[in-house]
Amino acid sequence: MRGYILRRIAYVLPVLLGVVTVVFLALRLIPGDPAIALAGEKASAEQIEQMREALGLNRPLPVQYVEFIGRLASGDLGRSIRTGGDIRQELIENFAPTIELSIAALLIALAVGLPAGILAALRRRTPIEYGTMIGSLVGISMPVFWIGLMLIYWLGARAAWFPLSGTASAGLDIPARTHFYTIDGLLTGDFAVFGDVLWHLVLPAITLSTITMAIVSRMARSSMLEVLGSDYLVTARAKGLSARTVVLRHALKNALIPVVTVIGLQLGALLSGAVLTETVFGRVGVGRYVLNAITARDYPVVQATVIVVALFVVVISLVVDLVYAILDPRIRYA
Amino acid sequence: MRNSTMSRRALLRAAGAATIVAACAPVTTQPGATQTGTTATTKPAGATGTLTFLWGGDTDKLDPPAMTTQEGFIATTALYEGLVRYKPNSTDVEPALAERMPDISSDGLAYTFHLRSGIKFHDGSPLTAEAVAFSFDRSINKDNPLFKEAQAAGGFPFIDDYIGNVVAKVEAVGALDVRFTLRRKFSPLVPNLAIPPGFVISMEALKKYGSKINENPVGTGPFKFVEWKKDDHITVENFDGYWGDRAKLQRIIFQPVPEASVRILKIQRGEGDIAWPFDPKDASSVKGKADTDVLEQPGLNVNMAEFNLKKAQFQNKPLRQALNYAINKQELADKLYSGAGVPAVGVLPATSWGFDSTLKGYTYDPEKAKALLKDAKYGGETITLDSYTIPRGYNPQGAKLAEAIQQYFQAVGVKSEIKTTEWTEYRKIRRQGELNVAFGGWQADTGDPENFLGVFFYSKNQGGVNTSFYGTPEVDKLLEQANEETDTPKRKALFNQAEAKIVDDAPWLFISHMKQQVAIRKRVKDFVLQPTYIYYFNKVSVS
Repeated sequence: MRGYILRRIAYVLPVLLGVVTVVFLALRLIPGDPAIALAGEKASAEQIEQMREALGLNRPLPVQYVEFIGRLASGDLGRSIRTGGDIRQELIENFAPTIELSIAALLIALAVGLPAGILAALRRRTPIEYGTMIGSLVGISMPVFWIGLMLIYWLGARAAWFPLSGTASAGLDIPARTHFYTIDGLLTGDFAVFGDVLWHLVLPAITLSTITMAIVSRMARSSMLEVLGSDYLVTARAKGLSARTVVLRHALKNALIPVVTVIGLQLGALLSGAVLTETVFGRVGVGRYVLNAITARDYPVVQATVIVVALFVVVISLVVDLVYAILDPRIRYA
Repeated sequence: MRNSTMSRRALLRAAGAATIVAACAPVTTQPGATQTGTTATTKPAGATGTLTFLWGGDTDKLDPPAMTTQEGFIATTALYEGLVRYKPNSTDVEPALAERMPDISSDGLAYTFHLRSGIKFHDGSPLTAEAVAFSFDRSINKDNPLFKEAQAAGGFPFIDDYIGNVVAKVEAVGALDVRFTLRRKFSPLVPNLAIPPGFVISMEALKKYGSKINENPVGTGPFKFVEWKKDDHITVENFDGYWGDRAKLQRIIFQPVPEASVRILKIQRGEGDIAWPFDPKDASSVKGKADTDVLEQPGLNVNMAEFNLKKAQFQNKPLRQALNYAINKQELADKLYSGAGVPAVGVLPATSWGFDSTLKGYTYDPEKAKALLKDAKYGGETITLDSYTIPRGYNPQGAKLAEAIQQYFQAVGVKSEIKTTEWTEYRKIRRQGELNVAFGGWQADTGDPENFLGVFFYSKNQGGVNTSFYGTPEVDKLLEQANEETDTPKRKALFNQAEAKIVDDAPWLFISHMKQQVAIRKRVKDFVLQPTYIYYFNKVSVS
């Protein structure tokens, strides 16, 4: 097992270096001069040149690359060109609410998607299966921003059950201790504040959960169907075990192995889905942060964010692989 | 308006939620309502209510000379003041921190402002001539350590355009007398001091925070800084030590709401008091309603397409004039811009004090256009319309404008093709003179006509903002004279002469000015639009 873990960790480093290099080059090779973007529409040619020099963009690419890798190795993510702030600090402030939103979305997706998928497999050719399949098709097909706008309009504006946008009510004072709004809300000791934050989380989390929910339910259904047809389950039934015991004790564990992989992959997808969700709902988060940075050609922020997200996804994949190996010993000897 | 209790009950009914849900009600979503959060701010005597101002995106900074966004201009105007400020809904300026308008030396190179006495910054330090000089020196003196420090955080991108290029030094010449020494005569200096690059920052705070003044703004404005949670909200609160009439609001919350349609929904539901900007198509949903309305007036902007005069195809004045006659500006204003546009006669909008009401411009006249095309010996060559992809404040329809113009050209027999380019790349190649008929525009920062005519038509600005590459000795001379002249009527006459010549030369398709529009709840009283978008909140109240 230790050899397997070390081997998997060793794979991570070249992946990260590849990501860093691709991000560095891609941002500099696409059209559009960041100095022009940052100096603004009204800047003179001289001001643009000054901006280019200040950003170090007039130096050769290899020199910029070496400097970039050097700073990165020392943990220095640089300063945002747009806000002038320390990127590491800004990323901490923005990552936490996104992780919070992603976890909430994942929980909703699992809470709905897993039982729906399993039930669909157990109740074949019934309205439950058809409903789950149609629902998952709709969930995969609908654009996230459209779902978000519909929820805002119907549940926010028309029914007035939920706030229309934001991470918390305007003007509510929530000291930023962890930057996770729900935890910070809880730490105020005021349940009304915690409730307010939670209330603002509901619609964005549902919006973000739809695609994952659909994928999880489809995966759970197909995986369960495959397991239900296996010989060992026939044996279990022949031994006289109840249907409940067969499903819960024997089928479910094996059926969930592929679902675990999907969940791991979906965490990365949720982070990218957060860009649209955070924009539609006006929430604080890394999605909006990086979108603003892309619009302003804020290279240091885009680079740092992509690298940190990549690191996050790589670590999640690693964890998923390890969990997979624990669940299925055949993996580690493969 | 629904209150929070109703919301909770409704939710409980709908969801059949468990006990935990009962704790999860929003504290409040109603602006101005008392909240039960942990905010421990005191309510200044006589000041009541919270105004929630919704905009699209957060400001980049709150350091007046360093920021580049309109949102920053609005927020810092609550916190800071300049030596002068704009009169209500006007581009004329009046004294603010200065007691009176400046004394100008006979050679026009020294402007001396006398400060009001007894003014204090939010940190309690006094406003002195030394403090004013310190604040300006930080942003215009490249040898100042604070200037150097600020460069690492992006520097001061616009200070040179408005102050830095012409002001050699700012110095205290008395306890309350501060003198600006100019390198050359430049009468737009005074209005330029009314916009944020001219705002005065506390000397003590600058010494304490350096470039971190961005996160800790300290000015003399009617509101003091409370909090800035980036991308979430900026909160300012009534300053009880304000030197003038105390503001009526207890606090203002500036809140970014990226989706324009959601901003309007929030106004309708009472989750916001003022929304700016918004899609003109949504105006009817809030205009003239029981609780909401729209305030609008012509904006201090211009929407145009410039002929690249470096290219031989466009060095043909009758052709340029013909194309101007070919477009129906009124139709564009009414239909393409849903009534939010105003046809442009020339360069300056009616909200500028330099506006010439006698200017004729180009009215829609396809027959005249056809006649001029004959004079121009137009032989059916294809004209390339270069357009950017994204909506701009002066052209919310983005590339659709090019499609409309193409149809007008076709109607008079002119062939054209549309080429769209990503915005940043577009700006780059436009400056390099690679475009043909290039769409563009301008939102003026100050009310001075120089901020339109000078930047776009002074020959020395070619390749900078002047990307039609226009320049004539006659217009150059008129603009130089207007910059040196300090008498406003004489300046207006010079600008009018320059504009008349420019319009006759037709280096642009003069298209429209977009209206400035804000959606507002009727509980907001005495909110006044400003041509420069620099809103003053001193007299604003909420009922």
